[in-house]
Amino acid sequence: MPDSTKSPSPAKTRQRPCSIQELRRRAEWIRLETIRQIAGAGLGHYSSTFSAAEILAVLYYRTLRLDPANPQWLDRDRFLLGKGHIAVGLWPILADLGYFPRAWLEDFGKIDAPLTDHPNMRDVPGIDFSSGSLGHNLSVGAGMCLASRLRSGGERAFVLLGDGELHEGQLWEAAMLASHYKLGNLIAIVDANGSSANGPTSDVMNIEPIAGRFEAFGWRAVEIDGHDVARIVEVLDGLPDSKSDVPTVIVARTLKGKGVSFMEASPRDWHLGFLGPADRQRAEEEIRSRMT
Amino acid sequence: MSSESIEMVDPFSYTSAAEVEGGAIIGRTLIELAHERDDIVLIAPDIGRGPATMSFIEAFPDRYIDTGIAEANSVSIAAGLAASGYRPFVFGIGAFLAPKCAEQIRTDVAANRLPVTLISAWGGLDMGYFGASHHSLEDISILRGMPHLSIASAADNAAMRSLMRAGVADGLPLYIRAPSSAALDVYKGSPPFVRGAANVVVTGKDVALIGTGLGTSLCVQAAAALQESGVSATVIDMVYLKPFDGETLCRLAGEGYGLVIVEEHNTSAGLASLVAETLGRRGIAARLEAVGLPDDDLAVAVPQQLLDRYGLTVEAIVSKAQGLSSR
Repeated sequence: MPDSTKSPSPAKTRQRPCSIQELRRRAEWIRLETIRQIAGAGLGHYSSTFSAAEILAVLYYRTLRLDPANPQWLDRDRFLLGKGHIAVGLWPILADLGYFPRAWLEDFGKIDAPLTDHPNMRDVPGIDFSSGSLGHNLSVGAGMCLASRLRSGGERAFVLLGDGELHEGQLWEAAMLASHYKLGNLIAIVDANGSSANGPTSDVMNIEPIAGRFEAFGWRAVEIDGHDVARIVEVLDGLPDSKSDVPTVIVARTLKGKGVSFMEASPRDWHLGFLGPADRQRAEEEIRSRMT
Repeated sequence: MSSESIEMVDPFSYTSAAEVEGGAIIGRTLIELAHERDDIVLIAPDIGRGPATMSFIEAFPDRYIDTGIAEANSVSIAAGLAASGYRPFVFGIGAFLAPKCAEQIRTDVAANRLPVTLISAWGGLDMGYFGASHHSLEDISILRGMPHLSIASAADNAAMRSLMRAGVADGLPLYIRAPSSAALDVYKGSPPFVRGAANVVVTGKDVALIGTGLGTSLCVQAAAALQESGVSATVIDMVYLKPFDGETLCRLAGEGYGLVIVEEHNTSAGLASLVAETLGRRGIAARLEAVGLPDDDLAVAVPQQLLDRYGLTVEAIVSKAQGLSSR
């Protein structure tokens, strides 16, 4: 195995002292940046990005142990975006942390641009694995955790899943393997926004009880309000050590379209869409009103 | 059923010409590689603990990950290990590996250009006794449309070892079909394969026999039989199906050789198709015969009976080669 590359700069290590208030603002900023990028691209996934905004904010501004100056740092925590269609919410974060120039954001969704609707690890520094096909990334994350065990590393892999993604059979193959191999360094976060493409997730195919299903597969399950930043911080700060032997799933109950009232009211209309000028203004004003 | 007609492939051993002193070639090569480097890992879906790879598991127990009967998961797990700096091998049953894991191979391994070597064991008709579900006649056609994935088929043990070593050395996605149970040895020592290059096994002047996997072994035997009847045959091992060595093929066709293409695969979507397509695109006219398997339901029986039934035999190659060389 290659030796660990240089150590991270101290400011980039995990559990940075980012306050709850700052993290809340960060989540709103992610929503604004999402709207801004999609305005340039002409089409994008709003509502399922908004449901995960608080989760992304806490992960990247507090929890994950990263070194943006050295994206391949071997001991970094890994983040995998199982629900790859919300990459638009990840791009402003990675730019802000310095993985790539902010100017890249202006070209989101354009031909030959590195920032795409789903993330590609070959094109963007800071993307630990490509995604787009639902159901794969929990397996890939488990593979990374096995690699960490083989080299006695201390890093963890966080995989953000959609609740509709739980319909995929391979995901449960990965869930079975993770507990069998005692991968306490694997953390799945389910953005349980209750909606998949064709309807309420459990009307399409019942996935409940999510926590109970993971527990039956040998996982530790925690259920939280996925928009309660203080609670997300509490749970992520309190994760067991990476050497522990039970994988953790955090079932984050969220609202699809969270933060923009007309999207919350008809979330599936905004799963993939485009805000016209008037709607964009309404949405941005509503988001900004919470940032003051 | 008379007992003398049954010579079965034991699904949990590797009974190809593969059996040699010191254990089967796949396990031995993994051990060799694992002594040379500490990033070798074997992943297998409930199929590793047989003679093919057991020697490796005993020698390097920590380097083996059994994924249970979950092929798709095996491939994505391998991708995760590869993205973390390892060189994983996925060992799977041929009938299931490419068909069941096509999307994981494409999306997680090939598109990300990760150094995963996929080994298809008991491919072709090797598990023909177990039913149509266990025939593996379409793996090349499933995989060849995937950018960045190299595809190879080993004629014998020596070829298998060279390909496994090449996969690790190249550090690129590679699918290898392991040698057939019916194959006789073609190579001695370590054939120095180059990714994407065909290998000239025998040089002759009257006809060219182009094989892959078991096809190459049969071609070598057919060339020997043809020699006795005064026909001098070139034998080409198309060890890589992708990248495909169109140059060697077109050179032979351009020199006027009649071509007999031999493969243990559906001839409408494998090597014969690749040959015809390559020649056609370059506007090269050639006399061409295919020896392989039909695009149809196949019978269920032990491998040799199936090979005989569908004419994947030395005799069939000789007959077609004689026809071409006499024209």
